[in-house]
Amino acid sequence: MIAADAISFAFGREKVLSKVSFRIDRAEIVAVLGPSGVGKTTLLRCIAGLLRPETGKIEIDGSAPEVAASEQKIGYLFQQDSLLEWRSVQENVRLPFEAASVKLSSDEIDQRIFKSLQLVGLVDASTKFPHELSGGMRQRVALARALAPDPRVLLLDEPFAAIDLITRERIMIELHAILREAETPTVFVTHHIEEAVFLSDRLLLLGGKPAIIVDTWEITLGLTRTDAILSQPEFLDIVLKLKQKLRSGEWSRQ
Amino acid sequence: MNRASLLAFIVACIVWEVVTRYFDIPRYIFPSLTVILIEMWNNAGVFIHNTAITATESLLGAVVGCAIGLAVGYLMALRRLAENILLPYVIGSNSVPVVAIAPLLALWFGHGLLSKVLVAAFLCFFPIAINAYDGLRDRGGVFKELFSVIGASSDFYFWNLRVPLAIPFLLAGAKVSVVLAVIGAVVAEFVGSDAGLGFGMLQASYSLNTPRLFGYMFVSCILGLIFYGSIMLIELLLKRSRRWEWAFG
Repeated sequence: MIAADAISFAFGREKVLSKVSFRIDRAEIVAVLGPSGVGKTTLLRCIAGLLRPETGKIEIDGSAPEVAASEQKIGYLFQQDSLLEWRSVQENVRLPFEAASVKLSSDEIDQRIFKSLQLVGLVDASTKFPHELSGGMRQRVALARALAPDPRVLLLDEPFAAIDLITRERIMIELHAILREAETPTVFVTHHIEEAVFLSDRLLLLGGKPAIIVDTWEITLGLTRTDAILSQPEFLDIVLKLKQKLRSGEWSRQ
Repeated sequence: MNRASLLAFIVACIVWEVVTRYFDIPRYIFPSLTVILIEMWNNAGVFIHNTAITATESLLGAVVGCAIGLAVGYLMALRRLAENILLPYVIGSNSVPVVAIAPLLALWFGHGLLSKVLVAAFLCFFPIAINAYDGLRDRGGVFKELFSVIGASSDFYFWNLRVPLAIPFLLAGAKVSVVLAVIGAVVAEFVGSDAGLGFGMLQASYSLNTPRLFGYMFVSCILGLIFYGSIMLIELLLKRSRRWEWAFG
């Protein structure tokens, strides 16, 4: 569903990504983990068609990212929630449908909006405005907006960056349950190791300058993730190994 | 008007009245407040007639000036070529003294309604054009990326992001513009007219009828306040709506 083949990208003379390749063929959650500034968001933007790679090829469901975006096959959750303050929760979630070139019937749109708000647990808040919501709720509205058009891939750019640490853990657990239920192949980027391990089925470690995928880890913590996992030896062991790898410098030397 | 400003207004009126009476200042130099109000009351018909004419000119000028300002601001915000060509002239237009442009417009369009409306529109134009230009400008960033990812057309992006974000800018521009429209109309009447507040002011000054001159100045102030207040009312309604309170918080 997502095929990235030898993507390279540079901002001017500064090379950011070098021949990054990976595939996601099923409804799995893939975390791209790496230190700040390594090029994680750049990679995500290339996948979304917001940046054009210098070399290499990206396909989403067999289409180029720009085409996939125009067909609303991409759901994107930004670091900031990017909600339109003058639109209610429901109207924010409706935005992609209004922008779509192929219009669905209003009944179907209403159904999808309802389903999406139900998924993120915000049906009761549908008439509220963004400034009346907490940071966590705002991010869930943005997630509902990304999921509502039923995209073929979901891209999350450090979705918890703007949320405080206490709320973060709760939202992380909720997000995992939502993503599992949505069954949408998901790529999310983060520099937070615990978050990446908790949420993902597979980890891509991004490192070096220009960045390459230095390692891939399969995370076998099961399909259901609860807060109990955060204290399980298996979870802590993976986190510890990743931290050791990061400290050893092995990550960035590749 | 809150309690403090009402109190300040009352105190200023009392001081005015007491000082002019205590020092026995001649009415043709600085009349007392009551003399001015009596003059206005005794000539209410003339005052109402002149006010209605200036109000009409100002209102039409504000509408025309705001419409042209919006169109020019929109063009400059949307098209780089238009921005490069028009922006220096828009900024330059603000430096042209209205007392220079008013006789010219009277020469071209006569001493009727049209020249007054055009002078008022000329003064209105700059604040609204520059605010429309600032407000409608593409800010890029995460919202632009969001609209790109959902496959939005540039028209959809304009109407659903840039226009709503420009509303506080447009209201700020309109508040300045509508007051300037009154000044424009009055100045145009100074240049050549047979009615209106500017005409009344000239007549009063030629006949050394200072109370009447003050009366016309009061009315001119009130007219400006009404125009300003009407935009403030729109802003207040938006501020009180859940949808727009974020913009005017």
